[in-house]
Amino acid sequence: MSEKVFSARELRLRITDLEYKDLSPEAYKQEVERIYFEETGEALPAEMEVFTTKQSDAISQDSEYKGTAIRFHSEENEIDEVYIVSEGTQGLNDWLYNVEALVAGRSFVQVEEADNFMDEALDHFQYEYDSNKGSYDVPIIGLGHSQAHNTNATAYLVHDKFTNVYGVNGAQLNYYQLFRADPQFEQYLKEKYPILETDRDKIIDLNTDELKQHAINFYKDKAQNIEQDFSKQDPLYGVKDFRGLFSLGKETVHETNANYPGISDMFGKIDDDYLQQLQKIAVIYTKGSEKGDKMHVVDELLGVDTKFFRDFKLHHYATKNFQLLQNVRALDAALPEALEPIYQITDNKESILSELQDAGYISTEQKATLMDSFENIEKEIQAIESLVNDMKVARDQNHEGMILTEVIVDAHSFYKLQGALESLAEELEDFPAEEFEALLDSLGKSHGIGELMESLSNDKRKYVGTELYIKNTKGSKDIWISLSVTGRICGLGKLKLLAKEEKIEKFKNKLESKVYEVFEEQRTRANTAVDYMEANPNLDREFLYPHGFSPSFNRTITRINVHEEIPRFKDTSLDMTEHIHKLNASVEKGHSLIQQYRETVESLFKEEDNIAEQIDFMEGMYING
Amino acid sequence: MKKTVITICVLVLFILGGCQMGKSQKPSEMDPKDLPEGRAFEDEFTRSFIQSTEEVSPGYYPFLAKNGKWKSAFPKEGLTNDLDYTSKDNFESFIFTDAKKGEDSSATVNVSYYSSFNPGHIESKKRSLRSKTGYDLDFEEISEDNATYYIAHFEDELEGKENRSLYGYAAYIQKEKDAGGINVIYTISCKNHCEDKKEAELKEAFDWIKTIKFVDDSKDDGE
Repeated sequence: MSEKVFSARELRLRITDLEYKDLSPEAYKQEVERIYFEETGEALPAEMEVFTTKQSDAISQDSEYKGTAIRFHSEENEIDEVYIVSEGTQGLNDWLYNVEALVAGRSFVQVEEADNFMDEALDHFQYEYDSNKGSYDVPIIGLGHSQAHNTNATAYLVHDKFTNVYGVNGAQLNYYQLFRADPQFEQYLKEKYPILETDRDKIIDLNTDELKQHAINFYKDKAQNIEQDFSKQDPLYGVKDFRGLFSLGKETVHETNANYPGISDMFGKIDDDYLQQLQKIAVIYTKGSEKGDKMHVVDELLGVDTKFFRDFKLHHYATKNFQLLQNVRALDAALPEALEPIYQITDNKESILSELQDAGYISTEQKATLMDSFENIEKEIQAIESLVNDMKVARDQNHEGMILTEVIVDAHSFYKLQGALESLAEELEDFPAEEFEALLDSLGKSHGIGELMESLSNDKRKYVGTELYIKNTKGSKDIWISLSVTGRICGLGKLKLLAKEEKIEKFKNKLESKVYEVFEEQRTRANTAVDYMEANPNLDREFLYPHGFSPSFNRTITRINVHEEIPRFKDTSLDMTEHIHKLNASVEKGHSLIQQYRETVESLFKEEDNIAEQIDFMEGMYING
Repeated sequence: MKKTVITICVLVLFILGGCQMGKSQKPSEMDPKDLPEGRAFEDEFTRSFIQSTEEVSPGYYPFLAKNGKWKSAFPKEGLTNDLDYTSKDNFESFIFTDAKKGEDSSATVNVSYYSSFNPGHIESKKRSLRSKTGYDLDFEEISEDNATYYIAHFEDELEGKENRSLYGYAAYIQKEKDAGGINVIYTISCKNHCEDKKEAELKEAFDWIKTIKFVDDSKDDGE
């Protein structure tokens, strides 16, 4: 372990999790500072620079790989290191695709994209590559969850540029994948198995224990630099010994959900092939459902586009007979392979559902519902298979074309086939996926980083998801406080109050300049006019004309007395002074509430805990943004 | 009457269908008996990527990648398999072996296509190939047909294995106009009399790498 900044497991896990938050570089840096401070009680000991795949010019924005490079540098503290945080897969759908790709060990696109991104980031941070040593002169530490661990660890084995790789609930290394991605390992295996020189597909027939051991031997020098944390209940942990997969380095397993035993024991009892089929079906089902049309699920399941069959009308026998022949043949050819995984599941439905029930993932009732559903699907599929076969046989035997009675029999089979396809679609649409929801939800949570972090809680500190809470005891009561939440409340609260103060001030200024002054001006103007009238009463004689005092009459106004008095604005009911006072008081009250809250939190801790300082820091981050 | 109409229609359709089938020259659609010799045609999976039975150069046939993003020539003794061909729009990993019966050497050709690799950053691509192969590669640069080829020779005397050697080329091909890059590692494993045939085999490998072309999405270039 060479790293200096993210040296604690909790820190590494929280930084790994941060990768999913999709933050701007500024917000990302702020979060790193906050997390570091919360975990260590100190400010970051080095300058931080961040470079993300969003800024990358080497790999385009539609690359599969996503990640962030962080550089820490401090002359004073002798820190110089780079972290590459790769983004994994979080959602369950992603997880299913993940397993598909990883178990088969087919794709290594992210491994190469990650290697290119790493080069670009190191170049961006102005590190030179030492071609003699084949590495950079700075420690490079990889962090990754889920698939990202496979990406980082594989990149390390293939390109040897990482110094250390840390994984959490990670997808394991795969020797089938490395046989394709790492020419040096490929050569090593070819020396062990010369048949691979010319017949590469024979690798699938080679003894898997032997292959695994060869992989472990070949990469043994790197094992000491790889470290992993697992949730025992994580489904990826459950499949970590699947055919093709192997683990390298130090492993720590955490019990993260006491309600379930985890699926590794259960999977241990089930054959690899069967599990692969199960997983294949899950992917097909997900893919089909995602397209939103129930027939898509059928098409994905049968491996054939059945639109032709669904749209076929009786008169098409005359116009589309050749296409029908081709489609019947294609469907007949595709069915055995496509249906194999389904039959594997339906044939073993009793045992797999019993295992799930025994492990507490599903109830007796749920098991019965799923049994019914599997039986109905099996029935429809058998019907489709037999009808397609009848139609194919009819065509194989009648090269010259069918006579009318045969066409009628065939059309009847066809009509039944259309019905069976429709019933299968309905059956799949009605498949009680929700029966699995609790199971899937639980597995999904156990795959996440939050549940693992929660398991790291002790009687002084606990995590809710990836947020840290610290305990203090007041009397007989335990009180859990999140410094981060306290800092956020104080900091954001103060920001809100400052904004309010600013608005009140603006309002006051407007009131002075636009209302008070204008009112006063108008009042003075009116009073001046009144004074003038009183001093020169006869000048206003014309006002009497409409009342019968025509100008020819020689009358004089000798006095005008104005009784009205125009009050000052302050003395009117429109005066805002009281309102402004109330607004100011509300701000004061806000400040004092925040202060009270802070003091309450602070009082829960001892002075030596430096809580005030920590809250100040958090608060400052929100205030100074 | 109706029966006659239907029978005639069906017959006509069968004849038309037969004509259409006869017109196609794609090896995957041809009767295996009519195909040229060689593993590339004998194996159903490999032959599905061969575009024609017409040679592009002696012993090589046109090959189109499964995702349609690149093409090359393919040796008649070349053989791939489902496990060695991963194809997605953004990525392909394609590996084939080329082994002639009775000869002491065989080649493994590892091609990987990445849609995300932008032009530029060539040093990084070269570095990747160096770290991947473990060889100190010295690249030659050739620009041709909107692509740049960086090709480096490597050679490895296998320790403790007398008369045996590995040699070949590692190459990176960059699409010039936009994102798209291909890594190639062409490894020849020789068991005997290696010096005699090395030159010819290396030339064949070099020439083959240069048959790799990007298929331009913007125009119909699938010929």
